Amino acid sequence: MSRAWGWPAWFTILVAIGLASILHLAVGAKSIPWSDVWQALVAYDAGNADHSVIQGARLPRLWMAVVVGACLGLAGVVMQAVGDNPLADPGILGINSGAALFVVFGLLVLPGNDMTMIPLFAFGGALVAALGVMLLAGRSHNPVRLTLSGAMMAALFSAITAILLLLDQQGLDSLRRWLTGSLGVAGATRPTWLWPYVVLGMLLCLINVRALNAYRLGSQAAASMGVNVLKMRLVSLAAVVLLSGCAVALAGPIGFVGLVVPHTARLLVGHDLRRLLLATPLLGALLLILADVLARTLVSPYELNTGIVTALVGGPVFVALVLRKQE
Amino acid sequence: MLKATRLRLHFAELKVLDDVSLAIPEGRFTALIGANGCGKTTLLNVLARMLRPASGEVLLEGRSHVHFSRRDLARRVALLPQRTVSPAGMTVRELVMQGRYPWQSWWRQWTEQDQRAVDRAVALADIATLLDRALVTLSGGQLQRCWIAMTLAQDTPVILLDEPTTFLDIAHQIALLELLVELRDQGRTIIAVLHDLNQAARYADNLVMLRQGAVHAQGSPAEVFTQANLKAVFDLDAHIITDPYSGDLLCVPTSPGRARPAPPPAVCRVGP
Repeated sequence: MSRAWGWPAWFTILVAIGLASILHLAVGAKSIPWSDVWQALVAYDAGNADHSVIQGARLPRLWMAVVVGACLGLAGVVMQAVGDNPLADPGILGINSGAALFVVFGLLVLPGNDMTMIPLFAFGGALVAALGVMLLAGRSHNPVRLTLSGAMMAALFSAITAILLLLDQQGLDSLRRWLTGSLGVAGATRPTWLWPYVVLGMLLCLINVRALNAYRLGSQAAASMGVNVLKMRLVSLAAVVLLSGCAVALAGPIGFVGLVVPHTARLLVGHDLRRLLLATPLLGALLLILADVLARTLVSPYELNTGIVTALVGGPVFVALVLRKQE
Repeated sequence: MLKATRLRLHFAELKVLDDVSLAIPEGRFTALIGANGCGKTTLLNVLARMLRPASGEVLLEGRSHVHFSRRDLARRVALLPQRTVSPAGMTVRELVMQGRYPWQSWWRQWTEQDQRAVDRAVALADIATLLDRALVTLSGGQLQRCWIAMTLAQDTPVILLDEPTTFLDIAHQIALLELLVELRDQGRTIIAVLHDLNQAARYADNLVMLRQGAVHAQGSPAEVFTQANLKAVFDLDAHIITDPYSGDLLCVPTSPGRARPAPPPAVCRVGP
């Protein structure tokens, strides 16, 4: 195992996030010079059209990318740690699909719901999916079985979602973009009611960090050191459900971020969960900012969905991880 | 200090522990011995509350140990499991420091006392030269010593060890057993599952012989390390002899299938 890079890694990550953010603000349907981007941030002029684009549309979207990426990165590392499975990810294990199904069901089928109910639906769906995958995977502690159970759950939930949407053609049009994972949908409405859940999910991860670290030595050794393993698993489950649910509520099911980010983070800062829990939200944010830049520039003037870009990046990484594990 | 009353446990139909009652003497070295599958590891795991018995209870400091929180229990009882894992990217130092887990919390991070416990454990287990190595690069014997150091860093009055001498060569086995005796002399209560009967008889103060999930015999080696007990517990024919150098008891298995060749007949002189 290579040694962690130490502080240069952290410095690089932070600088990269800063640069990616400015890039994110500058590119788009109308390219805005970097100097104007800077001016819009530090000396906002309401009369300047470019400034209002930046402050009104692009900055919320950037903020969305940061939060969604941070949630997915954290959820991924917690799932990998507690499941002792390097292939765990809220997308691959069907948790995002479960959350998406419940949101679609809630909005289309149950009457009289407004947007504030979306996160609750998302949490419900994420919880049902997580419990379903855990039941299917059994107690055998077999990574392959867990991954297959998750893939099956994801397929099942997506199929049900598709059926629901076929029944409601209008709903399909408004939800289609959200369902492949897009930061552009919720960006305008600034769903501030979601922040408490995001913060709670992150706090739960933080509470759990010592136990997760001890759990690396196996559940028996962890228990003999004083870890309450059941409590640690429940707190982790709650954190994953909250974080994945928030990400889905904000941007739809975006896959592979929770898979790619923890592996990258381990290369940069090592395997200690205390460092990983700090590095994964940062790297998740960075990945999602860059993915969103690509999504908005690759086929300009059209726009790809962010989830499609992360799948394009994450799919090959997933295959590489499986191949490396088989060697 | 540690006392088990009427423990019963079965996996499906199989009785693993059948009415086991034990009083572990405080500040002594107790060895659990018995044939494969007789319930030694299970008993150790029940004592450490890794497994919940179907009935019966374990008393620690006079109260049932289910009333202790995991952390409070871990400050009193440490367990070295039989099988251990080597997480990727973890160094020996990180492993040993993990042993301080029950003594730390969010508001009480690394202290002088933690550092002293780790230093002492590292010195006792003799792993100072390995501290910066990654666990995955160690040999089985080195790894075992590092895990023992982690268990010692936990700094508990009671230490449970499940076959701690596995993977160790003979010199390191003896070094470990001497270490356990040293810990006992410091007042700690040691309970170890041991496979080597002669080592158990030599180093332990108290032998617990298990047979099919029940206690067959319990007491000092002089009391229970007998030909009859070995026959009953292991179905082993052996002589018990006394080591002429140390005075310890030794069991020497007899090999009925490989009888010593008859001595050459005395030469008979036939003569007038």
